[in-house]
Amino acid sequence: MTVRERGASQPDVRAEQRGQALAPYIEIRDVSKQFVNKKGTVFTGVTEIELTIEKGSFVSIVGPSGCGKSTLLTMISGLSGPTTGDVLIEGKSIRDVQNNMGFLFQKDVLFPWKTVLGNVESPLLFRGVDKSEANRRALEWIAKVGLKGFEHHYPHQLSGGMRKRVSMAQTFVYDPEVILMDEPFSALDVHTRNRMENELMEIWGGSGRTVVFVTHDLEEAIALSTHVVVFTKSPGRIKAVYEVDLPYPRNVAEIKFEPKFPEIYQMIWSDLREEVAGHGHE
Amino acid sequence: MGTSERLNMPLVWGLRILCSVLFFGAWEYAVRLGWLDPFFFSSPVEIYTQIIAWLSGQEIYYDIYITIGETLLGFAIGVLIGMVTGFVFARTPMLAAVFDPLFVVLNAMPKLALGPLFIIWFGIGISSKVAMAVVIVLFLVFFNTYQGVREVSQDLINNARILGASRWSVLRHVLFPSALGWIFSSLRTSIGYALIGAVVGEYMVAQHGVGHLIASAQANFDTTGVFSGLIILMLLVWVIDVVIQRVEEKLTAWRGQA
Ligand SMILES: Nc1ncnc2c1ncn2[C@@H]1O[C@H](COP(=O)(O)OP(=O)(O)OP(=O)(O)O)[C@@H](O)[C@H]1O
Ligand SMILES: [Mg+2]
Repeated sequence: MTVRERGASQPDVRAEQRGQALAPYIEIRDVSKQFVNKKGTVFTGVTEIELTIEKGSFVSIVGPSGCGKSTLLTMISGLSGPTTGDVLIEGKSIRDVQNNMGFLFQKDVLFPWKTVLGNVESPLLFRGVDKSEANRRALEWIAKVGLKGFEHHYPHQLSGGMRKRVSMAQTFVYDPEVILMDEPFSALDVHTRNRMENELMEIWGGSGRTVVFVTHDLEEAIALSTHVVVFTKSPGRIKAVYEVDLPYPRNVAEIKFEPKFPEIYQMIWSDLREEVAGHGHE
Repeated sequence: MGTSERLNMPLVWGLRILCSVLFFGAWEYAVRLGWLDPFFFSSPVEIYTQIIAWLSGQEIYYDIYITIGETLLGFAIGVLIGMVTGFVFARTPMLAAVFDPLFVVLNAMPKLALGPLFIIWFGIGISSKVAMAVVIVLFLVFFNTYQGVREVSQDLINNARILGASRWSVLRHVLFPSALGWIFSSLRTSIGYALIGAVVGEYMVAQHGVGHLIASAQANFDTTGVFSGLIILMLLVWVIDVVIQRVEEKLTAWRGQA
């Protein structure tokens, strides 16, 4: 278990610790994002974000509501650029949307005019996969997220949790290398949630895929991640980055009974508590 | 059928028929008793007789054919131009900003007033009526498409881009279906307007068409002919509307109960 404050030489430290030379994969360099509203007032979403994410890691971001977690994911996705600073993937500055990235949005963004099947196969069709192959892979994923029998339903005929699962299938079906997830499981009941979390662990484990995962739930963050990033309250800064020293493969429901788990939780919570203090309802 | 679902449909139909019978009965009766002057008001029986006489002849079908042809042609051209320009302007804010005042002025102008100009430009044949229908439809569809495309959720576009959609795919899979609801609501109104354009054009000057039929009846002070022509027009609009409604239900099935 290591605790590091935001610092310049993170990748080197970590590489040394693991005794291997891991190159930084996603680098967020002194990034800030400002929003200007119609009246011309400037609002700072996040500021001074410095973070290095290694290939294959699972990084969770926790922090109070409105601290800029979604804003950071949007910048990594290339949908919107930082106001200052730079986001790099494999050393190249991101200027636009990358085709090897998946993004599970916090909002509901399924195509309302496409069926479940149409939604899940669309990224494959966009990529020029032929129709029958796209169909086959989409059906496979629909089954994996437990929606067999709903292939021909439209989003408005599904519950919120079911729509979230369609979104997951829509993202995983094209096997992106980087997966950005914005509170993907918060709409699910505990059992479905545990199932999806374990499914996610399976997809991610040993695949070399990199996940950046935003959540309100510290327990979930610890249970899943290799690293937990704690944000300060708005305007968001990185308060601390924790490496979670628990073994993989993890079973999300059981990892909580590891003796080290409460210890880790306590440590991160002591940091997080100060930030969410003002938000009694969190 | 929305709200009527829970109502007692036989009762609704019974009342509809009763109202019609009362209305036409009162009209017929008033004319017979001399309370209404048949010169101005004709009478239901005469109108019915006239329509039947027309329908058993041949000329009326040619008139209907001409009017429908003008309407549909004007409608199709207007919709096409309206949709394409609506899309282009909605996706090019600069263009929209530059031409915005022009649109406001053009839209405020009564399009039917352009009739005399079109007759000079396109002659007294069907082209001038088509042109009338086009301008009316074009503006309606343009504004609705423009609005529809502008209201597309940016989140949906973002998701499509993340999923790998090209510019064309975003247009085809997000902008177009999303604007379709708006476009359709304008289509149903515009088919009616297209007919107005065509008929008003025929009123001005024409050789054929239902509008021409009505105008000639009017020139002969033939009230029965005018009423009969109007009823034929109503039936045409109704048929067209039903067809459009069917197509709309098909294409926007994802919305649930249409
Ligand atoms: N497009 C925008 N325009 C103006 N302000 C924005 C915009 N997007 C986000 N913000 C502001 O930036 C701040 C951070 O927003 P963000 O959505 O990133 O928060 P978050 O950490 O994801 O919150 P939550 O946990 O509630 O989802 C908020 O105060 C929000 O009001
Ligand atoms: Mg958020």
